[in-house]
Amino acid sequence: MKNNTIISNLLGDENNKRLSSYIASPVLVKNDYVEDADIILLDTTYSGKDFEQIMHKSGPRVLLISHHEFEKVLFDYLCKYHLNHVIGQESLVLDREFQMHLNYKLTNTWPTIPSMLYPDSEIAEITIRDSKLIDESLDCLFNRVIIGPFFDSPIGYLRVLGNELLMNAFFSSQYNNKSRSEKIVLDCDIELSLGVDENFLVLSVKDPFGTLSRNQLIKSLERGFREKTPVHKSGGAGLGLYMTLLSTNQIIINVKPNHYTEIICVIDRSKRIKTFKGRTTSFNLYEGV
Amino acid sequence: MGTIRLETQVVGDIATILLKGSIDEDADFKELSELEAKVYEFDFENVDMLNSCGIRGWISFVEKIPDSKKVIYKNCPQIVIEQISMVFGFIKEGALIESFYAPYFCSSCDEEKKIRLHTKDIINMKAPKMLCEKCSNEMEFDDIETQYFSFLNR
Repeated sequence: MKNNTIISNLLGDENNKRLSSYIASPVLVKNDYVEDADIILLDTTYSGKDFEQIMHKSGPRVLLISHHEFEKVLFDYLCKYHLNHVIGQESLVLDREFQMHLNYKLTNTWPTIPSMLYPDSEIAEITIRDSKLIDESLDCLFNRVIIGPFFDSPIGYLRVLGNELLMNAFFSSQYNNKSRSEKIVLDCDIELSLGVDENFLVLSVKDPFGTLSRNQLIKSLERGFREKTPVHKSGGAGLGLYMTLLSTNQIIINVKPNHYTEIICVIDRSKRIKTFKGRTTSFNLYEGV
Repeated sequence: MGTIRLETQVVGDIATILLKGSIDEDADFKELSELEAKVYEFDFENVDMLNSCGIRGWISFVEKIPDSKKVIYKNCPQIVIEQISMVFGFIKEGALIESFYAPYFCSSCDEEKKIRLHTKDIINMKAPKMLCEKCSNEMEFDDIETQYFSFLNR
């Protein structure tokens, strides 16, 4: 963390009471908008007239806590502003999510599965090069981790998530226009990881290409949420990221252009599927990591 | 389970097609276009995964079924119901969803159960009351009704 880190804290009363204790020294906290602040904390109850100004000038430095459904978050915030961090208000682990992403921003680091889970958590890893081994690889990974009590069944959602993210990884860049039935064998690894602790079940897919830009990501989500129909051309159906968003509680995207893209999906631990479905998906994009 | 396998039985004018496995990029429904039946009953009980390419393939297939044929979706597992809500066109226009599975939770037993429901049992988008087979207590519908039953408005 650099010296003289400034946080502009514009959270409403409820979130301020709950979360301000996680903002530890030596950070300097200002309870109004500071244009040069390193991080601006905002929630969707903010009623100041300078909201647009804050978002336009400081978007990438804003951490927004939202009580809106993700579709509204996408169209009202992510499409309009260069906003990269949204945390769903109803998260059962809001404190933990908030603290985690605040720390990453303050220390200029980014999430990895080990850094997101408690120490000594169970993590399994596998690499894959053949697109026809996607399902087999996912099954192998799921069999290596004991996930513990959950609603029935997070594995079903992980299967969809893993399949969509792996297909995107295999068919990104040079293979994008190929039929998805074609077999692709890469000369490099796609890394697949699964971790679990008392709060989170975490799946990561990491490719060594780094071709996903914020613009492509938002455009793909926007098309998916607006049209809700597949693209009927060769190549992908254009719904993978949309389906991923709807099947996870948290999505974290780490992109280092031309080096790697990592997408991490988190399912919050719960025995109730209603709890899983009932919260806004958190969205966190780390660019140029 | 692997890519989708189709088991078809034709009795009179009714073709019952049991789908088993994953509706994915390799799913092939071509063999069904040769069927001569007035009614197509698709049984999704054993579908375990759908991906976006598979959904596209399914939509392309059902769009080609003539409107004069009656299409019925049966025993739809939760993942199929969720896809119906996420993606337009998964249900062919005019098709009937006869039955599907819905999640219920028994607080006494601390267990989730998948209960088979018939569409005709859903009144005003409300889940019917269900009793736990184990302890006979009333279970709670464990999803958001307006979302889960949104397919009824398609």
